[in-house]
Amino acid sequence: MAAQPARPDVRSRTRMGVEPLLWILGALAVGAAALTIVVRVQDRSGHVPPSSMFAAAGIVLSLIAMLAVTAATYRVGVPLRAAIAFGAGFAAIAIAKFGFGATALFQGNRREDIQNVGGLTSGGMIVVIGVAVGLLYVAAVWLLAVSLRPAPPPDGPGLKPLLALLVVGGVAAAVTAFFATTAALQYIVFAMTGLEATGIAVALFVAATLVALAFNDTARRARAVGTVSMYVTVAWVAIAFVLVFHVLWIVFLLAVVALWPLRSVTPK
Amino acid sequence: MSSRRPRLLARMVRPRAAFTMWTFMIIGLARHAGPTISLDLVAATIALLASYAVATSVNDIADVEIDRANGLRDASRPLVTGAATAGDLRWTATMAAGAAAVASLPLGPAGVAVIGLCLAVDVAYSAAPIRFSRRWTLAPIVLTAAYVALPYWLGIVVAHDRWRSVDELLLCGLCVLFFARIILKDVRDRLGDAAHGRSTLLLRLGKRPTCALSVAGALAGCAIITLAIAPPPAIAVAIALDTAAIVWMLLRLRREVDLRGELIAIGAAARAGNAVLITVVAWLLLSAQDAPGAQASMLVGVLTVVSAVSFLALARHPERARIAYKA
Repeated sequence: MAAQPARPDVRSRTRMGVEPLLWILGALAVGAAALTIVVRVQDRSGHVPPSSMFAAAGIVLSLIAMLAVTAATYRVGVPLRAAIAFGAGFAAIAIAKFGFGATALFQGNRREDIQNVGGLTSGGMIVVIGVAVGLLYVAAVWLLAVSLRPAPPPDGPGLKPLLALLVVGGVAAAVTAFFATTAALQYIVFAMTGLEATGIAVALFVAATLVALAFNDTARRARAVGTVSMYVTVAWVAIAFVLVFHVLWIVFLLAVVALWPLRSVTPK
Repeated sequence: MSSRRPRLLARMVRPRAAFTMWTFMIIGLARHAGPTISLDLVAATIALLASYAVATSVNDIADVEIDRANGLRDASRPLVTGAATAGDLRWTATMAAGAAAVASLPLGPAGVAVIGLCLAVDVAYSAAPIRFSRRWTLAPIVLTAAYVALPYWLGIVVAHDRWRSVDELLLCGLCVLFFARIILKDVRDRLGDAAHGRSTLLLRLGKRPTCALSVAGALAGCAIITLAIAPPPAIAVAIALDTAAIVWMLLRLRREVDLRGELIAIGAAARAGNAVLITVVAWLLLSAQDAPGAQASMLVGVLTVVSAVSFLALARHPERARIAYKA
């Protein structure tokens, strides 16, 4: 069978050359240097988990995310620039979640106890927070994917799953807050009002911009080659990574609260 | 300079198996020092990975004909595919041995001794005149020592501690569990092994007795590990669930006649075995920091759920699996 002729209107997929590799190596070097500094200036007060630990976790996870997400999305078939944008976007999410977010939780909890109607353990509250915030992240990624889609349903991603997710998530959040704990809502308030709020806002803005850029590049390529399925696959890969990040976050914070439990009150 | 040989060296560190060895080192470290990240840990990791590259290089040279007969023509067998020559692999073995020796220096005399033993076992396992790999009774025992006991000992060295009586029971359990796993490694290669007259436990005893031995080893290993680490009841239940998953897969292996199905059953059992190891690491790290049992149980519960999802995905949908079994 004859080979398919090359498409002159579609840029061939860029191979991983020296320049992108240098960028990735540069990012790894900066991350390693930052990690070394953070570990050297550890604050070990003993009563709350050291912020340096969260900073170190954020840096390590962002480096892993950079490599893993770039490799995974590149393998699916997106252009190299989009794959690197996905990787960098998820690196920013890792810094927001594992670095700033976790710090905000414990700093906020120092000022204000968590309302714990159902008498959950610290671990239980972490699971509630992780699930609720995870749903928000999934909704955000799906919203970006829908906004920049190359084709409407049934080929491209639709809004219906997002609406269903928001309705189910909203009801679950309300029921949980009423009968179990307000941990998820309070975490969001801590993340938006504390000292770490600026860091979280910047990191999430960078993440959203990069992920949007990546979806845009992917959509353009999908339109050019006429395979919308590639775009949908990339959207699912992004959501899979969001879920993996949240499971990791839950596991990490469960280990942390085993040593430094959250302060909570059970109203009579 | 051509980057072919350095890339080959990196390829000879087969990540899955190397990670298993590293886990046993972390268990040794966690048992003696709790959560510890140090330059010694980095040095020990490099030394361990390099020593494993020596083992794979020497083994690939020694068993090239058997590997060819078994049709192992993927990127992890460069000698079989023709991507590398025996000279290339001798180079990777020499370089990796040098790297292991240099990396072990910061660990002091004990670290140098452990890595020296690792290298000696790596060579003796595959190369003449000893060739443990051709002695069906000794091969799994030597592999257990190389994969479990020596890395565990290296973990103690990284912790700057010495052997204690609490290590005996835990290491015994880990070795028995690993032995149950490693005696199944020859399932994939039995045709080539038989054709080349290589005697293995599987060929000597047959599949059913080997599976029975593996089930007994898994049950005994997990029970001994549970006794050794004395976890809270919820964590003991998590280990029991993992053990049940291993036994389920071994029983499936016993019935399976298709090679692909056999390999998937072994892979799924190994995945459940990894869950046991992760549970042990989690509990040792948290208990070393005096974490309450309830909180540690919650963490292990989440880890067990994640492992169960991964295990059930493989066990219930074997048709979706991609065979990447390299042990």
